[in-house]
Amino acid sequence: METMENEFVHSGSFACPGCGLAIAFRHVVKALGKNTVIITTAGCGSVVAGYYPMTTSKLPFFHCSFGTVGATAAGLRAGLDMLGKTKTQVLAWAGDGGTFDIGLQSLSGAAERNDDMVYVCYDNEAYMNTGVQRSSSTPLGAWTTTTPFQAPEDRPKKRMAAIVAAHEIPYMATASISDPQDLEQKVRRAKGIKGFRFIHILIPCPTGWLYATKDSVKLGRLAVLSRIFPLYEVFGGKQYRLSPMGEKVPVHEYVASQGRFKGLSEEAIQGIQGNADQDWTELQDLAARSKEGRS
Amino acid sequence: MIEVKISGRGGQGAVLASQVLATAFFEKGFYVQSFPSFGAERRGAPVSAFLRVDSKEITLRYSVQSPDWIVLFDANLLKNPMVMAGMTGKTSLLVNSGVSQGLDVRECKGFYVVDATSIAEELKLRTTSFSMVNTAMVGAFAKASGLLDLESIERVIGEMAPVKRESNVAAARKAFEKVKEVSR
Amino acid sequence: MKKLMTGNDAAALAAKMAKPQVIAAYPITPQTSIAEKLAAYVAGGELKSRYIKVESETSALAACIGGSLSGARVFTATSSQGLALMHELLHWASGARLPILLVDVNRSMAAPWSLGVDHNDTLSQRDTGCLQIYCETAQEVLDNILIAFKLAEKVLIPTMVCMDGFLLSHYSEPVEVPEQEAVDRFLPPRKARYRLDPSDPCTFGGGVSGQVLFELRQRMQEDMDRIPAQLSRICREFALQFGRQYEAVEVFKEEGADLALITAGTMAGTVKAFVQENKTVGLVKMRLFRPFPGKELKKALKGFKKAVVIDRNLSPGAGGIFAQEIKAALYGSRKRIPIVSVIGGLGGVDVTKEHLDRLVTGIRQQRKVPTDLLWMEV
Repeated sequence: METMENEFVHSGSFACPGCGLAIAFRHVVKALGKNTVIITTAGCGSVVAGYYPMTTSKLPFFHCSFGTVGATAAGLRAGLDMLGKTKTQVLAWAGDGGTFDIGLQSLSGAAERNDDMVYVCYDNEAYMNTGVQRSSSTPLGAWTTTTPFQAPEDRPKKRMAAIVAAHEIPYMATASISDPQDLEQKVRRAKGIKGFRFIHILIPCPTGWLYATKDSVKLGRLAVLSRIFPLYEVFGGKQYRLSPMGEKVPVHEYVASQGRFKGLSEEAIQGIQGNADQDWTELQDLAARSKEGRS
Repeated sequence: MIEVKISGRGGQGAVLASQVLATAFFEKGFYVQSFPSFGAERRGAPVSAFLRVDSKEITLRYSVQSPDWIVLFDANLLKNPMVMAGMTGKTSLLVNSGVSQGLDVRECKGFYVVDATSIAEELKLRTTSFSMVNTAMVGAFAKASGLLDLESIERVIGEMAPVKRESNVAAARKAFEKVKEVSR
Repeated sequence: MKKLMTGNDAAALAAKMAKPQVIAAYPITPQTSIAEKLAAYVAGGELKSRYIKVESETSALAACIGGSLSGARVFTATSSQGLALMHELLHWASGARLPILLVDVNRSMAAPWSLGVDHNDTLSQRDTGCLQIYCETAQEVLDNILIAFKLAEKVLIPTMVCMDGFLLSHYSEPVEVPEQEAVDRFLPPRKARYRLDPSDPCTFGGGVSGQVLFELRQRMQEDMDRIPAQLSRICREFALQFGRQYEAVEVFKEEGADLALITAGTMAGTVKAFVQENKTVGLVKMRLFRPFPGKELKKALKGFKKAVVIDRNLSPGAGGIFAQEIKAALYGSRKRIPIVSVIGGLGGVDVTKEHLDRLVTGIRQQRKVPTDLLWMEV
């Protein structure tokens, strides 16, 4: 992997120190390359890109209204195609709010129509840009300002991957900032496929998850190793393929490293372990069935 | 009416410092107006908080144009034109610094320094990223400006400090004692 | 008891004291701390309310409509883009005659993104049939939310209480906090006559003929016409209970002031400070905007020879919105004073006493009253 060459971001951005999003963005656009246009919406991705007159993007970049990334990108794609620019990639870049919540309608619309775009969800598990309020991506037990310690998040994280897979899009993948080569490879793979491609990246956020700014990559790795955020790909909504991951570890270290889970009891942590184990078993099963051609 | 600008880096507690001062003045019977600077707030970026104090109601509302006091949590901010905007010959300056020479200071009404970082470190007042100098700076401001007594400051800090109450009160007291005017 | 708090704190506190049973809100800068404070009140047991953490503002107002139809008291808060997402439902809520209380923290509309205050967000909704009240201070925010709940539930019209983003939502200032018992006496629980109730089943909102719609709208206008008097009565009751008197239009001037500066929101506070040092100028502060208080405005302008309207908004292609409505209200007057229309403070840019001084001096220096739209310097 080339480093420090072929960059499509300027150095410097408005990201918090330790921001996982800045890392993710850099690798995604590096893998997509020059012939790309980016649509983003309200959220950290918009602010990180900078305030006029500065921008961190070397690629064409548009800020659209909140919740409309899927639709805006679909329109852009249609226009580009009609103008003969069929090889230009459209990158829809949105957070968990703009994807799981307010953006779900336009995401589902674009996925259902199989509009040709790469939709990347940078998931920091809350509305971070407006000051850490819960989203439907906030995991069970997490602190946010709207799920304070006296009443932490009481709903499980929305299964976005399953929702998107159910649209039977050609390609979907999960990725982590702790594995940038895997992330870039997945983006490049997506680039070579036509239709609606979805990449879900877990973004550790020191400001909202409450940990030391130097630990973002470590937390990304722990999320993968504990299988709370396993790495895999789905083809056609049905073929599951696991990505190489290190040996499975207990969730404990991942949970204990974050201030947002400070209030959790041992019982609650065991519950998290149980859920992670169950989901991992199901995922392995899906992958095994796909291998055997039984999916 | 007195206008104060307090500048630090996001995460250093400049906003809380302005709220402590606002509360101290308010409890003394003054009318206060306090507000942070607005815009992208991220850890590490310069953040300013403002305070207006008067004996009668303050009805005007806009940013502080030429403060009577600029309080800096970080001496490097002396070089930041946005932070130093509004400084005139009538502005007094209070800077967190261990040295009083060699600082890039233009003409001002009064110039004060206090080594708030050392005071904070001694009392183990820090986060993973910063020394929490805010309570020390509040104590130093009270003495340098002559506008607030130590007792009010200690009481308000005692009520408002989210953690480490005694250490924060001690920091204010130490800084109150140690702040020095620099003659130039 | 006086406490230091921001406009947002005051809004959350007033909402808590009004005891809404359903809250549905979506975070948006600079409203967020209202949503957060209410979540904390509910989590801490200080407020017994169902707080729905909706996925968008459209859903926030939709949920409020549902909640209000049950007969419960409801509350929401938003800002700029979020209010825009509620646009269709504002029409719904007013047509359905639901007394929903909505706090809007005024902020410029994108594109491009801007966090500073101007009033385009709420003024763009002036035709949706909702009431609009503009606040200058955190005290007004607290008091006017309580007044608005009472008014809305009496007249059955959704009500917007507006406060300037940052300049009011985030400025910390002294506020007199009322006693809960006094608030309970002023604002008892909602008694909804029309609601979805299996013991008294009704259908609401089904298709109507043109004639019926015509009649409903006429009735709405008649109800709107009665509001200034009803608001005045409620404000008198509030003053008796809490000692603070509010009017639809307020005047601050010395005897002999001949030029009126007309504005709304926090700018009125700056104008207040200015006119105290420039006694030939007076402040006419618009608190009520919908229904438009034409009668009260005419009364407020008595004695002034000239008026300058400072709009913190712009209807592109038409000019300042307050100015339009003010001119329309004064059109039929026998003695019409010249009205100068000025645009200032868009995007939250500062409007200082010095700006006002230069504006007024400039206008006075001209032999003829400017008829074109003036732009305040940035």
